[in-house]
Amino acid sequence: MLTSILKILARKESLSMTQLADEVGYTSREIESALEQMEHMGYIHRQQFGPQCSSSSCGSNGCEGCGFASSESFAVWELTERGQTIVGSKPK
Amino acid sequence: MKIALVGNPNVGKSTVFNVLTGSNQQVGNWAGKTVERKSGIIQRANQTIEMIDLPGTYSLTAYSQEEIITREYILRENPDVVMAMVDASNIERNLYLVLQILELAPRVVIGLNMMDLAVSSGLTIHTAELALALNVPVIEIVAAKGKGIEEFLDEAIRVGTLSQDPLPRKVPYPQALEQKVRAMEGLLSKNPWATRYPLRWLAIKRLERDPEIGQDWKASAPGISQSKDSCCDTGYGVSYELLKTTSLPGEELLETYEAEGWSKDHFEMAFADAKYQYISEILPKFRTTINPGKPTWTDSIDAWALSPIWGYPIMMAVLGLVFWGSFVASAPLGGAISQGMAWSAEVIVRLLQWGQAPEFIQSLIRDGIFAGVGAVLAFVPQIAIFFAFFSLMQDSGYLARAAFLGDRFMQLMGLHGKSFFSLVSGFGCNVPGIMATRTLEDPKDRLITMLINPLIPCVPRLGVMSAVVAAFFPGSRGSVVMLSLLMLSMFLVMVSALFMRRVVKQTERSAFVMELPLYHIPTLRNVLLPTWQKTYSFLKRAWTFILVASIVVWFLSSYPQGVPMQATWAGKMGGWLSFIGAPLGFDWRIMVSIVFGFAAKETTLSTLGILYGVAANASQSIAQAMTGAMTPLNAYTFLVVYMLYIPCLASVVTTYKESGSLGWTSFGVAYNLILSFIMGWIVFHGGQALGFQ
Repeated sequence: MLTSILKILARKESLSMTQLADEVGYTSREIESALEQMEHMGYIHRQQFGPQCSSSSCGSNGCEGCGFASSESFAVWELTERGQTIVGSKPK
Repeated sequence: MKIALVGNPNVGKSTVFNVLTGSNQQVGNWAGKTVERKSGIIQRANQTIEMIDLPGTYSLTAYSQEEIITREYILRENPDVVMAMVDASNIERNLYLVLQILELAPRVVIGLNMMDLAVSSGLTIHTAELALALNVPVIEIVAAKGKGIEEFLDEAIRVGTLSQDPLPRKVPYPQALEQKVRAMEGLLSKNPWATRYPLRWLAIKRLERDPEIGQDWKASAPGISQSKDSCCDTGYGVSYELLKTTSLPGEELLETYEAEGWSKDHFEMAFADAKYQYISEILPKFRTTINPGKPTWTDSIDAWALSPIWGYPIMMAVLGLVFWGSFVASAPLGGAISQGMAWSAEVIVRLLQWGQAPEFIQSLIRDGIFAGVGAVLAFVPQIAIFFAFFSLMQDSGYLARAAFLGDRFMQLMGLHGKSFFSLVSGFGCNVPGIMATRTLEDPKDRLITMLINPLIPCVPRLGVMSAVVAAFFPGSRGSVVMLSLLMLSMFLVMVSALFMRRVVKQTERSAFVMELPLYHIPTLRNVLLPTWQKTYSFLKRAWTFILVASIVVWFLSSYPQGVPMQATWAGKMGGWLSFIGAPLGFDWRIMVSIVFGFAAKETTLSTLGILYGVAANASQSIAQAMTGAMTPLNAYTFLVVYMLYIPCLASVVTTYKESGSLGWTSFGVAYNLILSFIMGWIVFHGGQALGFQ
């Protein structure tokens, strides 16, 4: 299960959680749990894309409102360097 | 009797501990750690029980202080029983820790907490089946209500006083892995040092090259402990030479496995994988869900909204609806504001005439401030309605889907998936969009994303564009025109990325898994509040930056006095630029407005208002003034050029700051200018060839 997820993350197409769950054949709950564990182990990491305009430099640069898309929060899971190494090598 | 209370963070452990120990608690820190240590005494009949509330942890690896403390306590203090708290509503995650505990300690009792939450999520946990699956007693508790806690303790006391260790189920590892575990067990069993650990657990940890086990060996191996520096008692002071000669048991076997490609990470992943696999296999035995396999309505919508075939037409339809709604709904309000501004200008100028104010003051108020700022204000309803629709998209959860679909474009361009967050942010404002490239690790990916970000039309640009579209393409035609411009922008982002990849060679793209929020009905507050905030920000800018810009443009277009506008300084500036504007069908006023748009995009609109002399003729709105001087083809060409040339000065400065390269910043500026000119030329001459006016 964990290895399958890592292999999928090493591919080029991104997925939603539901799509990932469908592909590996587990429930979304199981997938979330597995992702959290792998993050804890350092193979993947979760990155949150929060409001970019919270930084003070934005206002000082003359950015007038940052609009909507920049205040939307996105969270993604992706491989760390360690995760990429383990996917890239296969033991005999 | 010693009892250890373990569990994931926030599983309700502290509640159980407090109920059982009451005021008989001792609180301090674990030796040498910053983690809190809580212990308490419980009196039961003739027994005095010492209970330790171990730190909340998700596993027993050696990645955090909490994990190390928990497993060291179980190993060193050897509690008579471990009370493992499990969250019934998130049992997959919690059972991983339980399986690790079962490899360390055979006497375990599970307390299944938060059953009420599980039930409300449509889950039913059959405790008897769970107990059977793991061969461990399971007690249902509701810690928050104090239910089942005494029974949990009673069961722990019963298990703790059993004459023989029970035999909980072990995780079955794949055959190849199991063989390696057994081989390591065989080697370790011959070493007296290993007797202090459960053998199977130690074998697994050796295969994983657990660093804590290594420290323990260094501290206790014969010869090493005696050679510690006098200042240190941690074992770290041992000499390298001694360590080399006294390697940990099983080292040779590990080297053999390493030669076969089994690194510590491969072992760690294989053991974790097997545990998760095992949890997945036993879950259906004790957990049932209401309507298993039945998709939620979010899943049902996503089957269409994220479909590679239907996702894009749906996204286009939603965006089309947003533009159509903002054009149609705002038209009457925009007209009213235009008339109101013209009327106000008229009244104020009459008052000034009555007060015998100088002519230039009257002209400044009428032809500068009212024409410039008024031109922008006339489109506030349209922009506010556009913002409201965007808020609806965001709060309903659809905007995240649209962003996710955008990643497919990144794929086609060979860019890192995270690049699309920068581009999505660019729709709000290119400045944070460019700053968002910081999340990209590869500097080449960063540079490409930074250079293509300005091709994404930001909200101020969209506002001005929708204003011009509304003037030339009223009604539903406007939404089609806006969609065509957005599609052109997307297409050019792709083409430019492919081109930049040739200029800047970057590493291979990797994917990600995105968390998407559930769809929900947007709340009025979540729609109105950001709409107001953005509209207010737009208005504030109109009264500050745009006001100043309007005064400057009025000055340049009014002096020298007594000459036709084309002979003023602004007119001359436009004349100098006519060699660029003429091939695109632009008159000098358009070129001047484009130049002023460099400072900030909205000033284009105020400049057009002044140069087309909106307030000079109170009965005429900017739309009417512009449509009288430009054809729809001119307008569409202007929109293409306006959308593609540099977003604003702030974005250029940000590109320089983020890239740290004047060369790449200049390249980006030149690229945008040249691209906008070429696209404008193609649209204008292509349109003429096709017979468009």
